[in-house]
Amino acid sequence: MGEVRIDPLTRMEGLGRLFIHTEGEEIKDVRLEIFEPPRFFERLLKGKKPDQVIDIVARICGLCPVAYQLTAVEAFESIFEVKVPRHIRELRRALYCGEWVSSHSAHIFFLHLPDFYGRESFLELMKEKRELLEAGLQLRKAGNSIIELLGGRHIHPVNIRVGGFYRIPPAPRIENTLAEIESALPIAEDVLDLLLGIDYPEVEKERVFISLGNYEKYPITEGNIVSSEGMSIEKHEYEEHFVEYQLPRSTALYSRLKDGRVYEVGALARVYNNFARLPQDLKEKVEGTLPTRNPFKSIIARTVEVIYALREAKHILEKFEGGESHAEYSVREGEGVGITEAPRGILYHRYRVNSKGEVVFANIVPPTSQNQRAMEEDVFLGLKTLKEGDIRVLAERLVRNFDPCISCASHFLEVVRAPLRQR
Amino acid sequence: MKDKPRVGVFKFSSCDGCQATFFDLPSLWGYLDFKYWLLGKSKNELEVLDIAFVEGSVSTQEEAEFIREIREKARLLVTIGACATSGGIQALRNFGRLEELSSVYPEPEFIKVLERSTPISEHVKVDYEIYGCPINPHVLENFVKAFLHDRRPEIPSYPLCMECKLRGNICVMDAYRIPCLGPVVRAGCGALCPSVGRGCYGCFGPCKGANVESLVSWFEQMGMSRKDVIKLFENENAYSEAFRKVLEGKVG
Repeated sequence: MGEVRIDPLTRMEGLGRLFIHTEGEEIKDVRLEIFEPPRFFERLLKGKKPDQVIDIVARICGLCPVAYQLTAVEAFESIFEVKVPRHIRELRRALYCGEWVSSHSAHIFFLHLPDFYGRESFLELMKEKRELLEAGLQLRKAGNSIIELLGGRHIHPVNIRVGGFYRIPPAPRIENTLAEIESALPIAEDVLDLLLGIDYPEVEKERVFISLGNYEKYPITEGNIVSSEGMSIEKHEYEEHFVEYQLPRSTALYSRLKDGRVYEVGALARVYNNFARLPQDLKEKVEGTLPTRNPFKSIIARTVEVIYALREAKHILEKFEGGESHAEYSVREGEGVGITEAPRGILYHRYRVNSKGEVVFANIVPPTSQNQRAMEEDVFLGLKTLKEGDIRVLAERLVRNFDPCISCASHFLEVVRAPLRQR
Repeated sequence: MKDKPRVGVFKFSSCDGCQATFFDLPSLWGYLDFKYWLLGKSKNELEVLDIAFVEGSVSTQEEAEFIREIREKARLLVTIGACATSGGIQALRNFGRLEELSSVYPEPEFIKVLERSTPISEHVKVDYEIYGCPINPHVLENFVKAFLHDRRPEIPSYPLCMECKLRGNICVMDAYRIPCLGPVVRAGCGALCPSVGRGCYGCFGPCKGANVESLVSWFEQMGMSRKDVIKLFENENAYSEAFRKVLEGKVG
């Protein structure tokens, strides 16, 4: 029995390693080990009031803080039965679009793209494909600009509160951001053309894809939880259908369907389940390529979502006519869930608060912890199917296809103290 | 100007947000020779470095050992962000009582962490600290440029109120009685929170000579309860020396 170790994994957020067990030429087992130290967020949230929770949960992820904030907001607003005006819901959708653009662009250009040109980093790729990295920078900047407009800053925004925003941005600033979106859109379309023209390794996976869906629009915060197999459940039924479990190798909990099946969340799953809701011209452009079960083409799925999100944010900001910054509400005891489509897939929050509005219980299930088993299976399948090149490079690519965010994944454990002397 | 310095970017317990700032600073890419940066590169070698940028706090034994190894290799060690400079939001667990924090986790023996989440400076000598949750990219950019030109880097040490005044904001505490940490917090974000009508909650940590006692007595005069005052300091920099006193009940 041989063992191939990839330690640590690179060009991914957070710290993990991969073990591949082989017998001769044959792959026997694949294990993903997440050794990112847990930060115990669920425990830290106890006793905190909703608006402070919104600031704290942002710190779970520096790449997708908006997802954490808006998922928490959704949960609290359901507990307090806040009637959120339409213009605020729309602006939040635009804000979330900004994060999809920003986070996806970081992954597409800085982390993922070097794989398709056989380079070890974007800095190397920059030497021969400068224009491509420039495109990436401009797209990320447009995404960041949307977040800065509505959130105050693009990492850990400060403008989100229960009921709405602290302040609605003034019209001239909206104009500036719109101009940035305008100039980013053709760039994104060119990138899509380019990505449709390159070669991808041929792998087809069998996988249950889970996302939001069954909604009139491409889902970000709305809709039911749906699967590629036809399941459709309400958000509050999440914990009845999905189970978290623990394995010694990971500081993140694993997740599976109640019947034991492995599932996957993220851009590939979203596009698979909601292809019909994409704009006609985009659908036509990617016809025959998307929807797909080829994990390498997740880069195309993300690019399609970048275009969609830029257009959607543009549309919302153009028709915005002003309004109150937030809705008033009264605090009360209760429990509520929020589920939204973070860039890396569905993100689940459940909170229980007391009559003073303080959190007494929190449960957070991030996308990457849900994908852990799927990542191992993809590596197994990919290494079996594609018997070419360096096994280490290929295995790492198969994990990277998911855009894993290990920093997020590992932070959801109750506090356990293992003092030095016990080691 | 100096030759391309050899740099490493290291992650400890953190959210990746501060090191992601390097993605947004293309002006620096051509001037730095990245030798080690797991988020950005696949080829990484831990060799002698001119600058080690460190994100994150120390919360495991492995991390406590790794930071010593980095220190040995680095001419300059620069912490980036609140986790590395003061322990981060995860350092809130440092204030918990041991019995309260015993295992509620299904299989606790799998998880090994140190008792406290601590700033890098509790473990090794730190040459410069860049504050913020997240850091301000301009401060990082400025730092690197200063290094390249042998200038002294400018890292603000004055209070946030200065930035707020420069922006022409109305003081949220004076005008609306919204509690604000601005007078004791380091400038650097551009006074983002008061600019949207809310009080500063302390992302950049204590400023130089922060008079926390005085601000706490202001909050008390505004009628805030002890508990609510402490809550204000339960932030990303709670474990910094100046704020820690409040959480430990030693102020007010």
